[in-house]
Amino acid sequence: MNLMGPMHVAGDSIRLAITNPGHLGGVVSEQGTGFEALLMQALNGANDLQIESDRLGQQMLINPDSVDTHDVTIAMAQANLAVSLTKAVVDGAIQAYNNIINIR
Amino acid sequence: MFLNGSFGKTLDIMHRTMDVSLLRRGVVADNIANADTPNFKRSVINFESELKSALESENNHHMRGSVTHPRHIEFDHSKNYRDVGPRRVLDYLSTSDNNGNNVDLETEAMTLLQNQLEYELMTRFVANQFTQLNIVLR
Amino acid sequence: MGMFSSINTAASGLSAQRTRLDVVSNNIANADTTRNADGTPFRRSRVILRPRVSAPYWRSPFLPKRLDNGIGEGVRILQIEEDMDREPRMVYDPTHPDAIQAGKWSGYVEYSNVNVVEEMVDMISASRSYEANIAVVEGSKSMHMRALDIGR
Repeated sequence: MNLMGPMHVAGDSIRLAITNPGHLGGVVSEQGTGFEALLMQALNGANDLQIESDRLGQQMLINPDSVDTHDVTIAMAQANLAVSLTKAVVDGAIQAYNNIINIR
Repeated sequence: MFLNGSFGKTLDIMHRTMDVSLLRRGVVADNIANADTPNFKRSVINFESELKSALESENNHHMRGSVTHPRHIEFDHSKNYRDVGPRRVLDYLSTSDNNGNNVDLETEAMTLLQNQLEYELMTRFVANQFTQLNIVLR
Repeated sequence: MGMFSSINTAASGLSAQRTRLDVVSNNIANADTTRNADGTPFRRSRVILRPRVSAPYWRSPFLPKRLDNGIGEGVRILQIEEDMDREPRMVYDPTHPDAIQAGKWSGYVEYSNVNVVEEMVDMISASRSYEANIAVVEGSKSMHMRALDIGR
């Protein structure tokens, strides 16, 4: 279980892994297979990437020597891509729903 | 979000190599700025050869040793490319000038140019990665 | 590594080479000077350069992390000193107002110890280094402009 990837450490909050019902707090990282789980994963991933991109932007202002140009631009492009992907997933779901509802 | 697929892996490798490329540019700039300093020895950065061996080791299908005891050592020599880091090496073996300086300005200028072209090609590659997906998602 | 470290390093090299060029031009201009304004004989100046981060003392390419000085940040000028080591040029001219009056060198005039050919070589070397540092800055600038186009 890769807990310390940059997607799980965003700003000053860290996702804890709950593997036992007795563990307190944190986010239950269950890998559901429904559409809801897929959508939540995409949204969380997009959110994490946007937080990371904002953090790099702040760090670029505060301490320009600690971050490279390509770090910032790659993070920006990844955040945009994640949002586009999520939007595509949502659009596809809505279209499928409409098609199913409108079956005559 | 992208760490598991081939898109994420390619992006990660490119990103790390671009970081090392900037590091190398700093070292070469230091060599050039000190081209006339007495007793200065040039430094180089080694990264790409280690990255190559780590990436190639992922495809190695070594003979599996028969590991029957917890203290048996595995034959598995595969190395994760994420563990490879750049190394800065002091080059004290090149021939020096009369004042102890071994910086060769032409060599450093060629390394500089190559570094710039590699970095620009890598940025083009990474931009293309994103453009490819954006075509689909339009 | 940061955006600007290679540019800062090259900038230190540019200013050091510029100072070196200034010193060379001063030497050449005063190649035939006999006395300073305060009466002391004129000697050529030279620039003492040092790297900004002190080089490691041990001759090994594999430095332990703890003893490493980090990537250098360019060059600095330790001082500009007068070169007292080289012998001055002696020309026999008893009618010159600065001629030595007595002793082994009586009648000789003590010109500066500037060797114009050597100063020209220094000048060429300084301008070559200057151009190499400019190439570093230009290249870094171009690289950063390209990196800005990644997500566009």
